[in-house]
Amino acid sequence: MQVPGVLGQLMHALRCLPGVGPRSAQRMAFQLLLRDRDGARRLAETLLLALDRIGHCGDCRTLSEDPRCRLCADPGRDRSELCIVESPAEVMAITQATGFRGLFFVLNGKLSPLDGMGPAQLRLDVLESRLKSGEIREVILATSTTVEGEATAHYLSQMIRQVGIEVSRIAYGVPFGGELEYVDGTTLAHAFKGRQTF
Amino acid sequence: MTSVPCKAWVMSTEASGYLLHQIPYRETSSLVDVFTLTHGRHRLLARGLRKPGPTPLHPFTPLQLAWSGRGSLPVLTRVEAAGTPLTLTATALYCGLYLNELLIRLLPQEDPCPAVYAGYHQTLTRLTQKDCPEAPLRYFELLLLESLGYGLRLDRSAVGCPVQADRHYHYRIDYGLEEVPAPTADSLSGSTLSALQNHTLSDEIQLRQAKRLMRRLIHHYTQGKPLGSRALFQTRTITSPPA
Repeated sequence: MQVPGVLGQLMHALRCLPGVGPRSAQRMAFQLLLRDRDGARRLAETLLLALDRIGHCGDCRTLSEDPRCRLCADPGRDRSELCIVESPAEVMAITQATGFRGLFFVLNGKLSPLDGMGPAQLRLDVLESRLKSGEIREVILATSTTVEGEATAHYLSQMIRQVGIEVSRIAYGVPFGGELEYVDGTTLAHAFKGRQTF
Repeated sequence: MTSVPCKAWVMSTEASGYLLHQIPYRETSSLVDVFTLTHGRHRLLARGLRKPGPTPLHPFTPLQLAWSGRGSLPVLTRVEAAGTPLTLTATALYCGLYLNELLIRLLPQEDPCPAVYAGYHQTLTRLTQKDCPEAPLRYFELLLLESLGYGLRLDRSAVGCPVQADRHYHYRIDYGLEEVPAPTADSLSGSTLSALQNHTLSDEIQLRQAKRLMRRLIHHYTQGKPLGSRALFQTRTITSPPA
């Protein structure tokens, strides 16, 4: 049943969040209006503030309050290496896990024709001007190891090779500490194919 | 193997199949479009699929699937790899995505097409080999259109005359072949037509003519809505070298 008035509007609006159906939206709306009105006001104000202030970094397309994000503006980073990832969360993951000192480019998506994501939707014009700047020597493609991630990596590699920049792709295979017996067949097949001289 | 608990009294169905597409649904679940041998294209709910951990549910991997429920959205209860994944790389991967898009756009739901299934498997296998992907794609497109009931008569013209290798023809949709006195931009030679039918497309002219014909037919039967995977084949060109 459609709830009338502003309450109905609120429930409908909450459903824009991933994983929120009509029931969850109703529970959230009641929680905010009945039990935590201060929290609700804070949420509304912060949401508006975030929408006003947070945009995309002009260089790497990650979410940023400034025209250039902290990483891109940091003079201590190696500007000759560029790592291309699918989402801002991966920038954090790679920085923390690998100690990578270069710069990033965030695609905010991946090529997936059936989801309407084609080359035109990925803002590759921004990437192109980065590549043309002449300071990048190596591009590391860190897209996910799904079929769409592979297609994205291949598309980008063809584009990047035109300007004579070295392109590499992150390796994939058996997880560290994993016993082969329990590794799934697809991963094992890839690991076997991508074996290295030892 | 990913196993999801299922209610014992609900009827369960098993089939071999391929994953065509996956759409995130709720927090950790997915809606999956699979193409199965016995049930054709089918949409299933895969619960808990996006939790960390490996799953064999990837495109281009032969799968053994089980699902239960007969309603509008049956639930995937079991999925196992039923063979080595077909590793498609570079252009062959784009071709694979194109095949999947064709099946999603053209195949009706829950209509078994064993011939298309066999053709799909065979085409994927050929794409893993390093030869030119063009010809296998054309044969698959032809097979798909035939199975959908849009069969093309390629050995005779619409008025019943046998196709001659050295003559030129134009294919009129929903009518058939018409002989034309001289080659035009979208005419086909008789030799192209028989090569397409007998799976012997070889030279560049034949491949180009066959591609133009199939592209026109697919454009027609997909109601003119462009296929997204085609954009992948056009590499973005960088105009000037770095400063």
